[in-house]
Amino acid sequence: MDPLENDFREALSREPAPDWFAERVMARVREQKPQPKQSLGWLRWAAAVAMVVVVIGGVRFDQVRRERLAGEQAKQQLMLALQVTGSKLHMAQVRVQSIDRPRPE
Amino acid sequence: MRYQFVLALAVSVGALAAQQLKFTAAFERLSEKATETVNVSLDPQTLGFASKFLSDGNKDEAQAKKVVSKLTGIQVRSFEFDKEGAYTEADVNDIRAQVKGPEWSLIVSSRSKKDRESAEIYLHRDGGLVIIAAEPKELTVVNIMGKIDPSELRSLGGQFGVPKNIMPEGATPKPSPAKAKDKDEDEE
Repeated sequence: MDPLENDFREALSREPAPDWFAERVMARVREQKPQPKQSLGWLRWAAAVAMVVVVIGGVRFDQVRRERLAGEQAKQQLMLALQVTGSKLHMAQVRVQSIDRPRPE
Repeated sequence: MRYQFVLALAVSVGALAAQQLKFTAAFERLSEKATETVNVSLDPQTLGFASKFLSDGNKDEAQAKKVVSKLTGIQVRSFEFDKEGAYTEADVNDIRAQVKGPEWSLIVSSRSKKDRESAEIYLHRDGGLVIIAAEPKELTVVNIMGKIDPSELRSLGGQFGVPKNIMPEGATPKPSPAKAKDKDEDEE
């Protein structure tokens, strides 16, 4: 056997833990205060609420945007209708006035 | 109480229907020949919705808001053609036929044979208004439904191109067309 290999085998050979090891480990475990269990429940709830708020907010924002667009469009239509009405009333008035006016001889 | 409400509702719906012009398919098809078309139909819901977006800070819009609050509908059909003869007298007569009843009064009628232009304004006894303006290359019909009266139209004077004294003081719709300001101009 190769002396190097032999060295390795010796160095890496399995050794049983010393008797005191288990006791010390258990003593350390006992020493440590039991850590309060960190609850992630509230975080999950907060994330869920935030997500719901974001979704509802987004939907509402889109609704308001669409409503405003439709309203502006309706307003434009209304103003156009009033303008056409106005111009035709004006036309009628000009016609009537031109007829009322005595014609030059 | 409920009966009265239903009756009132039926009466108002009936009044609205009485003021509303019905555009025939043939009339609507004029848009196919037109180079420019204005087609506006606003029902009470849309009118109310639109008026919410009219600003009180803007003089024109504030005035329009006031007038619109009493309207129940607006219909505008305006066609501009690139050549004469695109519409026929029958198209106009279809509209005229709808405002021949005793509830309508012709308050202004002006015709020019020379320019081949005519403008007619009809008022409904419940407050509706119809304007028929015909020119060789243009035909416009305006139908305003609701409780607009001449004084309110006067309040639009100076705005939207509406002349300040379009309606004479005290003018009210009368069923008899005898009092209509009817001017026929023959310049030939």
